[in-house]
Amino acid sequence: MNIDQQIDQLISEPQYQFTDAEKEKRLLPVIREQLKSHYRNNRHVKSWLDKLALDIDRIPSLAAVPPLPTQMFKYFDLQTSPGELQRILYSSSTSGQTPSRIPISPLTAQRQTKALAAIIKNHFGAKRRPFLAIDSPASNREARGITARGAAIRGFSILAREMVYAFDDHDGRMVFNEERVRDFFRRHQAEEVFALGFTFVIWSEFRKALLDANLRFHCPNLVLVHGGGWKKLRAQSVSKEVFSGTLAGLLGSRPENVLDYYGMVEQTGIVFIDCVAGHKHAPNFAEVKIRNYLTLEENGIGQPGYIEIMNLLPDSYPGMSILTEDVGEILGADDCPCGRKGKYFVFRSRLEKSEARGCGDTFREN
Amino acid sequence: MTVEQIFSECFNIPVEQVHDNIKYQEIEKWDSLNHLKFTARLEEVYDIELDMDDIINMSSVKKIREILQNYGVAA
Ligand SMILES: [Zn+2]
Repeated sequence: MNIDQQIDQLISEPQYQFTDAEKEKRLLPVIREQLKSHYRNNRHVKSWLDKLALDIDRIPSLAAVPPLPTQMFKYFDLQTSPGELQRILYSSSTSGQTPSRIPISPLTAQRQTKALAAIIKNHFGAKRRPFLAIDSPASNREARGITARGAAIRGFSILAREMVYAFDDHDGRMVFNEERVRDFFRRHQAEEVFALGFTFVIWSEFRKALLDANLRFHCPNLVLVHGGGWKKLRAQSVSKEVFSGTLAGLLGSRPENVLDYYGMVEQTGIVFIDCVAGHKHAPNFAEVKIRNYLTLEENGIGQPGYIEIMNLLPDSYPGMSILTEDVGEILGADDCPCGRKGKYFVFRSRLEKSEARGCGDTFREN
Repeated sequence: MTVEQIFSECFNIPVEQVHDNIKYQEIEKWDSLNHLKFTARLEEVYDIELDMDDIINMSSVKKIREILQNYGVAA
């Protein structure tokens, strides 16, 4: 089987079935081939690996794959596929920061769609349902490129039978459309409704709009999935419990139906959605490592560190070992009460001050 | 209504140009958002409920026809 077929198989097989040990065996040969291909196709990757004097064929374990700091996507063109791109994704950068630029080839896009569908199906089933996007359609418009917010809505939209946006876009401002949201719940409140949004947008815009309009709904089978923006909420001292409780109260669902996901634009196609035990699991085509703050060695169970995501989906950028600026912790492996195999982890926080790790010379050409 | 007619209406191409080999994202209008509108229209016209796998697998006009046949629609 060639590497493309192996990746296809990892996507199409039932998810979360590999034990920790099986995953090591399945993923490492694929990652070695990907590294070789990236080495050939991108001069920045080449100078990075040359400097490390790495013999790719002899990488002994997943932990030994060198981590690539996520900031590199801000400063370097890391396209690794020769052909034309389907789109470019940009990180939602805070003001003044250079956004990350993620090149997406048609093959990468196709795998991302299938991969996300496999994850969604595992968590929620294959049945499509009424979908409330807690955003404005503008987040999802393809101009120069789309943002993480738009990419998430696009990705999850395969679950939509009918898609309704809670906000309109008025000259770049989000305006709550009360009538449309009322109408949506009037028609669907007894059904299994799926709602999706950015954590901070849900809290600061949607919650506020519901309170201002004195709106409450009764939608007991609603699932609200949200991601991104915890930093701003922590600053307002809003915990996960408060968030879930408040939104469940306003929408008439249960707090355990409010599920946090961890994802980022470099990892489009992969979302780490909370399981019933409140843990996050890596699907077949991905792995999670926690790395020590100082040494960047792999941390064991219960030791917080930087989250590294190993993502086998892209051929158009080096996604095989991206070291994030996020802090997380592995809680265990193969024994989560939800039944999913492999490592499980929790997200702790996003680093306030990034680039503290002296990674600036990763790609310097000597 | 035939699948060609629905396809023609949703993706804005003349019905006589719709053929089995057109693939997803090959014509400009057939992107992920219009794909959803298209599948919603199929469900409405044929009174069926497609699941997520069907949506993913509708990668060409030929595949669409095959998937509809699974639902007993002779399209
Ligand atoms: Zn679990």
